[in-house]
Amino acid sequence: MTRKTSPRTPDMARKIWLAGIGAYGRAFSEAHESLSRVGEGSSKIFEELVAKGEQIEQTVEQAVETTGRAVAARVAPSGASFDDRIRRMRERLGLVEHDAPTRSELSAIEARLTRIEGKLDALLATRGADKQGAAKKSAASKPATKKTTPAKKRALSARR
Amino acid sequence: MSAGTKTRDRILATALALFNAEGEAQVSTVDIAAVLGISPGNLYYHFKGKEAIIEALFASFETELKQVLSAPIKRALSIEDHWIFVYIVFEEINDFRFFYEAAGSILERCPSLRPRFARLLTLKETTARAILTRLENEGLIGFAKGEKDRLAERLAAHLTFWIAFRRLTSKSGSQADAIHDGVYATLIQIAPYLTAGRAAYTELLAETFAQRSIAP
Repeated sequence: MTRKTSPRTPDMARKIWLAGIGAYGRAFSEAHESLSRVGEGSSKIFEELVAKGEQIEQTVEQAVETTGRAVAARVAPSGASFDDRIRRMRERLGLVEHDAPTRSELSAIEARLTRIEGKLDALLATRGADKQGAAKKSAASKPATKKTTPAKKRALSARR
Repeated sequence: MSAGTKTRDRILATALALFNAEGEAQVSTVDIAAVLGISPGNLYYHFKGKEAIIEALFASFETELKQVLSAPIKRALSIEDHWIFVYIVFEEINDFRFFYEAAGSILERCPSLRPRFARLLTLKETTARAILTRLENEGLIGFAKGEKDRLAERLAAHLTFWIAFRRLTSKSGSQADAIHDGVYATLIQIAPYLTAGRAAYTELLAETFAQRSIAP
């Protein structure tokens, strides 16, 4: 990494060091406060965490001078929760996690599923086009694809 | 994974949880089997006694801690990552706290673990020295001759005994709090060696770590 070998004044190093500790302290107490309010519903807490992440970034930016601005962005990126940072560091150290997946991991999985679904739909569509005669039949037997009939769609959404 | 390995893993996970919660001396293999809902004979098929369970638990702890501690020796961490690193070392030790709390008694019954545990403690010292050298090279801290090695030794002792010390001295407080205090106590030990800004550093630490007492 270039920034490790690049010359850095002790003053700059000190700023990074202090900003890191400040960001840690805030992230830690935020994580604890939100833990105590888990009952309020996870989406609200998530929004709060993101807002607090941004707050942390602002406070850290104020604390360090202009030269430290880039540092603060690296130390406390907005939305990075305390647990996320610990987890990322654990991964960098090569430790395998057995715990429940994080929100970001879940959304990555979700995004992957959406992509796979899209591909599947596309595949089914081309297959349907190839066998036009059998199209109706396959549509009826696969209610989850795009070819769901309007009646079925209504029934599905009513169930939700 | 076969059913056999699964039972083995479940025995280890349950034993670790019970040892940490109740203290290793208070938990027998019969207790572990009872909590798992298996017969003592089934447990005996996997582990011929409590010492065998402790040795297996130690092996996985050893692998993980070695990996963590070697990281800053192999390659320097970013300056701002050091507190996370210290936090993770404490987390690892906290997960294995039953051993640290009763190390003397356990090592007497499991003599084969003695040299392995000693090597882990030496590795802690080597890691602490690597981190101090890194901060020294950045101009953050400075040492008179011999001071760095002594501080590395003290940090290794601190990492080893903090969790046990905290449990002996304080009845309340979560495990996260104990780890948090341990990180503070680690960072504050570096203060006397700072080349500049010592008052600001100590003040920031006090401010940062006082926030914990507000949180439940």
